[in-house]
Amino acid sequence: MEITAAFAVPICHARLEACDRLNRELAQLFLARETQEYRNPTPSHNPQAEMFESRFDLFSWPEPCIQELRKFVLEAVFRVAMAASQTAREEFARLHLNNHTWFHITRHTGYFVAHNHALASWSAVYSVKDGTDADGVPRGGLLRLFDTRTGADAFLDLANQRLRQPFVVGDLELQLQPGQLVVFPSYLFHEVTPYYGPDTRITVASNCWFTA
Amino acid sequence: MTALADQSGTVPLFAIPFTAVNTGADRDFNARLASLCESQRSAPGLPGPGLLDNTSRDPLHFRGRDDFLDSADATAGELKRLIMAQASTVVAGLNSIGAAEFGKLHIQARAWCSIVQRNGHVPAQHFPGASWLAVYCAQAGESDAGFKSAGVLRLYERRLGSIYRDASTWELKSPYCYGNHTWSPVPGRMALFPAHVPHEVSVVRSVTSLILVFAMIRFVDPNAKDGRNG
Repeated sequence: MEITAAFAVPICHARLEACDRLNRELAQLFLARETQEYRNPTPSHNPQAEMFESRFDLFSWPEPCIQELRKFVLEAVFRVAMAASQTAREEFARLHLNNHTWFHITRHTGYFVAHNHALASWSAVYSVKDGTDADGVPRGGLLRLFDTRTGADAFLDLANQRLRQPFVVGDLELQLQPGQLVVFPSYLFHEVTPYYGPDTRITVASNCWFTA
Repeated sequence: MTALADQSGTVPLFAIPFTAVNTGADRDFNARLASLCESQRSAPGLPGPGLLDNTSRDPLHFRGRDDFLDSADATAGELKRLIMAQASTVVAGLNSIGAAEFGKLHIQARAWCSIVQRNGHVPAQHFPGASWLAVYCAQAGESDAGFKSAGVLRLYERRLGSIYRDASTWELKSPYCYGNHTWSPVPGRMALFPAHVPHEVSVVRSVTSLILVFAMIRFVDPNAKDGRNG
């Protein structure tokens, strides 16, 4: 007998080591550019005063800290996409990776409603600043990735209510730490839960797609 | 072609029923119900916010015990009759079995109140083991100016086909359009939809707390011989 995981969703967790200096520079830059000039002029959802969303051209900025982050994020996306694909590596390596990338600054009670990203294949979220207290107490602001198997747990009995990984049904909640990067398929619905910290939560998000 | 078909013969497939009804409950009833919910929150010995609702990390959301409709309180009993009558009527109308047969089914419900203060929310949830979820609004306030979609019941879009769009599918009309569905709670009104549908209550931006009663509902065939719920 063999049990296999079908319909699996690839999710990559990566971490940028020694990221304190980079994150400090990024946070400083983003806070300085939390202005109308840099705000996304065509938000896809109702904008909130508690969450600033930048334009989608972040990785075209010339600042060294942006380019350093760009290298880390896009290399990770490329590696994930290649690892998840049956396409031969040498053929995959010739593909061109396109991206829309932006930053979010979230303040007390800010959140982002459940959504996915049309016309992209891979999405990534990098944590610049998690906004937790000095004592490390979580204050919301979770990245929640929704299980694609909606309704799969509608009927539970004693045999299926404690399924083990990778079969367990349920959403994935991530409290991102500074320097942490998550890459997942763009079709996956996700949200950011309300942030209740006293500080700011800062993330960079990217939608990617490959062309010849 | 079904009765739902338009002139081109197009019909909505795989549709999820969502109903919002005006129960006709008056202001006095809703005030009594809100007061009953508040009394649960302040009752000694009850777990504090977030302890009963293990998915909630929001101290501004209180979720009460799930035997709310079993209380001996007259207002709770009145609400139970109201929710069950409305749910039965709606669900009977969605069924192909006749009204007489449907009327023989037994309705069961487990309900709890949620009190959501300003800046609080009800996190994403759905409920196994029930077929329907009723959401009754006992109290709601006006959102502060500038806040859109605050304190709404939001049912999540889950059709993954939304990932590819072209110029013809960005602006599809209802019921074909992609996107979450929101319902603004109003005192005396009740929403009803399948319990497996993921949903949330978005952050409340009103000085008046939002008070909702959630009821998981199922219908049981008392004559079912195989032990199932009919």
